[in-house]
Amino acid sequence: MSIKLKDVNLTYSPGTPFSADALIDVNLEIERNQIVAVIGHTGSGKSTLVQVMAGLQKPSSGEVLMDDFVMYKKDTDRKKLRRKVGMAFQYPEHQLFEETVERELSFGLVKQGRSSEEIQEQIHKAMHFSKLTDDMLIRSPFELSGGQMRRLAIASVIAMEPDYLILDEPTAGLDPAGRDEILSGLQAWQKETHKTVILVSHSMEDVAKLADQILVLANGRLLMSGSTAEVFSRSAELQQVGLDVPQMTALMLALREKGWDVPKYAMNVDEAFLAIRSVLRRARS
Amino acid sequence: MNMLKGVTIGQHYPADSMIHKMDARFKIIMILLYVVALFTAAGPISYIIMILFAMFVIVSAKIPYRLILRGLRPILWIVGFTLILHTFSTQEGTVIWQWSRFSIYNGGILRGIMMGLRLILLISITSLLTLTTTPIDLTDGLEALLKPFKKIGLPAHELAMMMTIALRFVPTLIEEADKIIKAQTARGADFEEGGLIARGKSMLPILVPLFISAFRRADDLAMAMEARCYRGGEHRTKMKELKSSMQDYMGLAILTLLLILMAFFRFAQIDSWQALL
Repeated sequence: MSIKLKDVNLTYSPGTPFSADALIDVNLEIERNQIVAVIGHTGSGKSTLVQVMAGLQKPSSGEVLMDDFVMYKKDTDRKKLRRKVGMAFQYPEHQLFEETVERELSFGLVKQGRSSEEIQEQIHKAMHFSKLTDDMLIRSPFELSGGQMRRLAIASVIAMEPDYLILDEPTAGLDPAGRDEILSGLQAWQKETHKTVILVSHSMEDVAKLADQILVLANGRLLMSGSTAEVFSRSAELQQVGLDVPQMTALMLALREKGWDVPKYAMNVDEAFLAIRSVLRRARS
Repeated sequence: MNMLKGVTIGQHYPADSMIHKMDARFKIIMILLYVVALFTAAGPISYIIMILFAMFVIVSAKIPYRLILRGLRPILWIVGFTLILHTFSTQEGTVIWQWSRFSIYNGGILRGIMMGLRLILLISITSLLTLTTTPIDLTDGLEALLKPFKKIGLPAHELAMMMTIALRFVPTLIEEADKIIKAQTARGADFEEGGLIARGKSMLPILVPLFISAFRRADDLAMAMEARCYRGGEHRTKMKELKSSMQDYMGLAILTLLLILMAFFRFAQIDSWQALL
């Protein structure tokens, strides 16, 4: 069970002077039950790639398979596809439109043709994810704070229980607290449901904290794909395409250059601390 | 899914051509002359001249004809509607088909075709104006042309500014709408199913966010303009002054001739579509 892209190419406005290659020969596979981060410099094709995966942007050529399901065919069952994959765009709160929070959450569920009990149950779960209190259900979504609106918008996608949840920069423009709330919520949701989360992110710290697997895009091509430790240990290549490594990884690499025997990769301060301490202990003994 | 792909209104197509280099003021007047000439054109010969002229301009502007065709796509149904309406409502010429109370005259079909052609030429030639002129030149030109009316209280600069902003935001809003459509699709909305009412209702999830974002943008823009001390038309100088050249006057002369020719054909009754009946 996985998402598979085979020789996917995508050109925007082909045959005009505005023609631009967004994706070039992309081949990849994403297994289920993990968090996958897509990173890359601005204009590297991240957003296009996730839109292709979500069934929203037809590639110019190539094949997209979702589990046993071939996407972008004439006879593709769109209803079924929408149950498999959900996506929240950048600034998803800009897509809110309903009169109440409750109707916002049930929008997709009604479209899926769920029973009213099921809808209530899903709304309840989604409210739990978005950390909104039940008295907010009858309020207008436009009365909420920015962070709350963001969580509500993401929750409205989560409520539909997609097998694959795709998020394009879910924390863009939020303060650190709002950012942590969303990321920890997503992580908890993934642990609980064992679904697949694919997220585009600019923050290497977030990626290091959350992701099991990383896809690195550069100029529309897939540059690297592998586990988080694998990808971040290739920092020189990352820096070449204008990407950073997490701060603690950068520290490890700097220490290695000085001759310290520390691992190439550290996800967070705790890991870095343990690595440095063990080196110091070895040096002392 | 990409319903908005074909919209080319307000789009600029950069190229190095004689038409691109012309003075925006002259271009606007020439377009007006062409439109008047188009409505003066009375018969097949006039239409052929108008079509050939439009083709000549498009070719010399180095605009790919596909771009023009794409811009025509949204009005095709209006053209079709015009054709049908004229076919059934005109009662001139001879009857070529009859069924109970409905009858089609050959005059009706001819008139329908002419009206359709008129629409197509109208859109092609006016879209050529924005395709070959940068929005800034266009509004500068418009402002210059409206200046004489300032004496009677017409806010020329403000109008031109509003035009610039409107034109500037057409592609932005199209992009925005496209994104919102995708986002709502990902949330389970379906815009391609159901009857007319269901489809109308399904526009709500697009329109509400689109309006909100348009207002937000307007707000931001107003704030940004104010922060840079924008004060409207008073004592404002231009970095690039519009300059007219020999070519502009020649173009104007050609268009004037075209209009005179069309008027002559019409009023001397040399060319008329009734002659085809």
